[in-house]
Amino acid sequence: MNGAQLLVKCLEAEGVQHVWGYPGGAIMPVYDALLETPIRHYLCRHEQGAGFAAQGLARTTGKVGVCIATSGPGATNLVTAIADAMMDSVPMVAITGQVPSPLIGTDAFQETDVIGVTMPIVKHSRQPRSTADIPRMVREAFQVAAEGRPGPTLIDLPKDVQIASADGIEPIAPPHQIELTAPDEREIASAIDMMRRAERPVIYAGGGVRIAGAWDALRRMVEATGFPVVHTLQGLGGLPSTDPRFLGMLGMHGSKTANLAVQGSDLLVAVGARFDDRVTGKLDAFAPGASIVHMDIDAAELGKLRRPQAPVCADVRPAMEAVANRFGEGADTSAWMAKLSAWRDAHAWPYDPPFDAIYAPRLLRDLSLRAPDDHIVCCDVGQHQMWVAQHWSFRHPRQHLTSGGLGTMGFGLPAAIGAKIANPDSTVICVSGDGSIMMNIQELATLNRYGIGVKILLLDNGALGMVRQWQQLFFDGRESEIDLSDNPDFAELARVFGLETMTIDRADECDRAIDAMLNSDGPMLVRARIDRHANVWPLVPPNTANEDMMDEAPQSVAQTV
Amino acid sequence: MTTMAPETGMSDTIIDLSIEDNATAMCRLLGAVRRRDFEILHFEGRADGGLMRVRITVRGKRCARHLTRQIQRLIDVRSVSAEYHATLAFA
Repeated sequence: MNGAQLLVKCLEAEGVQHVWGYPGGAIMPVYDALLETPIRHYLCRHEQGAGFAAQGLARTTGKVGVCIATSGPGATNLVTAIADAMMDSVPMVAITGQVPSPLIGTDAFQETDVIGVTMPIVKHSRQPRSTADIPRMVREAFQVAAEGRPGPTLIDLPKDVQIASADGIEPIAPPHQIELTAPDEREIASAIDMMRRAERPVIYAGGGVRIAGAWDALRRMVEATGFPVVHTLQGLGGLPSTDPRFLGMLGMHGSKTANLAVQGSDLLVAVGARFDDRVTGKLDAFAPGASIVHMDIDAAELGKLRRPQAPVCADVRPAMEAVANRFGEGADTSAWMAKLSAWRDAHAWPYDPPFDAIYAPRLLRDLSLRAPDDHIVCCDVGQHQMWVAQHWSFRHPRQHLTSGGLGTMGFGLPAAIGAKIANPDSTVICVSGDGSIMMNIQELATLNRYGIGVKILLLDNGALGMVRQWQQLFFDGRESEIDLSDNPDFAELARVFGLETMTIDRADECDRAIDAMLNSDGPMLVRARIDRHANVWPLVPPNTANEDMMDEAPQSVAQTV
Repeated sequence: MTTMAPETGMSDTIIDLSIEDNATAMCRLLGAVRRRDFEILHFEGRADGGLMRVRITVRGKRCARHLTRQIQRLIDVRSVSAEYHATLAFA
């Protein structure tokens, strides 16, 4: 057995079933070893695609995703996916080949100091210098990626270590269960005391609820307290979108009800959330009258941007369960709930604009309502991403994959590939835009190669819509380098890649397209041509208080495509 | 000197650490300090068996408690303690 074979044995010991990657010179022994393992390798057409596909598995299952690349450009092509995993706390192990140890530091062919390049964007990284290092470093990489606040780790394996003898060296078996960080009794008591006294409470639940697999605990806490909930982009689905206590997403493109509720609250219970600038707007003006209970497993998040009166540093699942079990009776919140109900009625989303063109929010809402309960939606980044966040009907948080922290265009398609492979019985929908899809368009070949039945809804407005919207609103309408009208016909392009395709232009074609997507067996792309001038509303301008939302009715943007 | 970190305003912090003596541990430590927008005013380090004993003095506008929490998250860090100051004269 050599080092590469030992590495693969270690992956088997970790329970890895699927890996994504792209071979090259410095990782060839590992690719040779992959021929003799039950682990299934999927060849993506770019290393970044492999990184996002690994995230697709990790984000939908909570397991550690694995991607593989060679040294030099292979490794640097992984960097965006690694940074994305770091920002969104996604457990992922990236394995890169490295030039042979004697050549490290000599500017050898395809040599890059990937440990140095990725240092700020990984939880940890290791470079085994002998085969004896491999079991310990692989175990460490998986443990660090998964425990506490998850994130990416990297193993950079020199080629000489891959081919060196590893006879007699065994993988280290992982422990059966990771212990949860239990909440401190005094912290819980203090949080409950504040929650009982609140008259205008709001729960602000973020991606930590999804990461911890804690949406049942969130729902129990909501049941016990009766508190309404707003979600961050990453938290969506923690409470089902149809639950009357769900007020919507908060922040820059949040619902009016959610933002008004947070701004008017006297207590904000932040759970697995990090007071991101896209959430808070002007930080000094965020929830100005609210005391803060902040539950998070990461001590470095508590007080990072807003000082909590009651910090709870723990896994959010036992923390919320403790609150649910012990809350009892709280203050009278009936006046607050009536006010929220009135806001919700007054600010309901409009879904019937008076024009015949496709209205993206309506299309997305209808698609989500008709998709099976266990479907998964993967977004790219831009206007369509915010429309999905606003209008999709979510049932649980692991069905929504979106690049929230890094905001990586090109995330959606490869993430959908990983999600579908990890969840073969689920309908997986990728919602993309004409800017984003081009960033990883090569992965259409991966869909076709493996017959992966991802359904792509491409909202094509012939422009970088979100940038155009900001130029319209904040740069006096001076459009700079946002025109994509010379893009290829994406339906034709996808057909050439082997996908079933359809193009629609009018609202009355949407039902037919949804039928086709949900009933087709293999991969399919529906190109929906939408108004180039459509904007995402409401919008809180940067560094503005969240109650100062800009808005516009859909009829004012009604134009023919 | 205080054991409580000021929430706002320029302040200096002396951080004593024990970290693993390996090739990347020091880079991770210094990188974490830089990324959180703190300036390193002073640095001392000595080997102690398989560990490095490090003392760094950092200056920044942000609450240094969060920096020490970030440092505690690094896998190679074995222990951290900090003293918080308004600003130090030598700097």
